[in-house]
Amino acid sequence: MDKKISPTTPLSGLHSVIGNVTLNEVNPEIFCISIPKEMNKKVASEFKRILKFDIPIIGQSSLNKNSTIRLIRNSLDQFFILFEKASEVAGVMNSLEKYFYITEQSDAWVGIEISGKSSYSCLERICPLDLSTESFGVNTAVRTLMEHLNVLIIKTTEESFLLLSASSSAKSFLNAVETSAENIA
Amino acid sequence: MIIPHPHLGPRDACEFVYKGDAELVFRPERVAPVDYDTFHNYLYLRQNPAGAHKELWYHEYGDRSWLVVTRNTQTHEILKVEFASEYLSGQKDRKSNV
Repeated sequence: MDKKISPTTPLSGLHSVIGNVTLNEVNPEIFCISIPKEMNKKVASEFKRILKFDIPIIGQSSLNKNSTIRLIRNSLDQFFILFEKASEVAGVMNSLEKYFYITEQSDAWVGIEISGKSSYSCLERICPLDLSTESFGVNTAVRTLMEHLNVLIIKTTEESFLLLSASSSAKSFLNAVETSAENIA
Repeated sequence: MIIPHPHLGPRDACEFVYKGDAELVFRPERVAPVDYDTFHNYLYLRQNPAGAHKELWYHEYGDRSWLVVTRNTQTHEILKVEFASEYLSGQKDRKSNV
């Protein structure tokens, strides 16, 4: 008997609603961009020329005009770039790879979008960061810890966050978020 | 304990890994014949002060930066935080072989 193998995502396209919290799995194309030392002084200008928007400061992210490409600055010499549309990857990355060190990381991450009016309450129980609007505005993007798991948290709107964690522990991470959501439902 | 990261602001100590006395960045140069006393002192002997102490902290669950944190070991008050690279550049009279 022929067996067909088909690809799946770490959470098989999760969609769940728990009280006032909605969880959706998202699967952006993710690339890590490391800056060679000799490019340190040209980072801003090269990114601007290729992406057509300004680079963010450390701990923040910037979007292109259509909000389909997000550039995150993790540290002085490292960026992440997230593509909503796979069709936009080649055009941008073919240019960036001429100047920077690129690592394709899409398969290494699981993405969970948490939204709804209780998303903040859900996350404040498992995230050590101050997520209040005053200190964590829209487009803030930082790495931190939730339970025992490494997470990149991005605030996408006033009531939604994109959480990226290791795909190898996707279900453990989902369990942490779901448990917190259930506790406040 | 909250560590004020130079770039990322106040961060919980759970995001960091403690890597020991900041003196570890000043590893003796290995020359022949090896001076075992020097390496013994480097590896095992610490001042262990009750008060201000310079320590290495690695931001493992953050931006992966190495910091030198000056912490009061009696009160846990954080007195100063700087990148390890900046700390080293301010110690020009001492050579790092790490």
